[in-house]
Amino acid sequence: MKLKRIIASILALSLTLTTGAAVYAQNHEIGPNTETGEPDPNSVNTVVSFSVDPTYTVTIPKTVTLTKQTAGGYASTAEISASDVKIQSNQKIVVKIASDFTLDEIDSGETLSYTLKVGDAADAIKNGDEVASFTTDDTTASELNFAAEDPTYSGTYEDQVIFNIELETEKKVMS
Amino acid sequence: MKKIIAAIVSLTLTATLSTAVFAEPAQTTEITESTAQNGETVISTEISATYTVTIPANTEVEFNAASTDFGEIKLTQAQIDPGYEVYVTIDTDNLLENKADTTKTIAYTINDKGDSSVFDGVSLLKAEDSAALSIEISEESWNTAYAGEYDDTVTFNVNYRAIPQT
Repeated sequence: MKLKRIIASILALSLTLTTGAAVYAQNHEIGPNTETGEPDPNSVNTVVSFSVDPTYTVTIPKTVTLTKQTAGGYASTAEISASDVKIQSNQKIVVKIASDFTLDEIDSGETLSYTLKVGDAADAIKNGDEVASFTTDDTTASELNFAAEDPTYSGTYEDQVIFNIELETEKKVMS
Repeated sequence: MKKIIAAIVSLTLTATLSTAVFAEPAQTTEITESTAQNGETVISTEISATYTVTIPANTEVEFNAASTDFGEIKLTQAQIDPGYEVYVTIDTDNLLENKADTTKTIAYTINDKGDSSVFDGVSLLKAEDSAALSIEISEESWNTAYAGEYDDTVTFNVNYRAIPQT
């Protein structure tokens, strides 16, 4: 029986940091008070600043091939990971799936349903669900577990899964 | 004969003399070798202390830069009293704060570029005396920084004082 494949698209996003050169405003000048001789003013404030642009790389497998399992059926595990994540503290990178979870035999048009579970979750993912999320502090990879029952007919079954990556910002709750 | 008699006119002009009026005659002292004296005249002027201290302006740090130039503290003009100094210090909490979330900070120090030590004040005694400064941020701080805008305010304090005795 031909191997079943799930074709997923690779999305690797990398934002290039824009680094600005140091910019100097006009210096402060302090002189003495003409009556007292004391510095006037005797203190000034200078602001030090910089900007950190967001950056991250999300890696999604290009293909996932389900293989025959000893216990029956077909299964495979893939991973969605992130690296060099630098986003705001109130933001997270969210990966959601768009799929009908149906494999199509490329010649005959026969179909075969499959499921996707994330990590140790008991319930299968539905279309539009979140399958991974990352923050600056947490870039733990998300484990995707694909599974399908033994098909009635042989052939090469494929499905194209879309992973949508979004940058979500937490909304402050007004009290 | 006619005589012309000339009259002798003797003219006598009586000169009227105006009598000069003299005040009391000035006291004079004949200066001789044995009575020589010295006269003193005091010439004086007062010069007030004046100075101009230049303080670094607002500075934007380049991302990922371990060290960024922070200008210099400089005495550009100076006429200060003997035994006095212009002493400049800074106040800072050494934390750049994220504007969106001030609990997220990046530590930094302001160093004296002359000896690479943390700046803790400079004594300026004459024109052109200066201290060049830098902003130091560690690689670890950059690596763990969240995205966003950060800033901090550094206060420069200028004091004109007698040089402390050591």
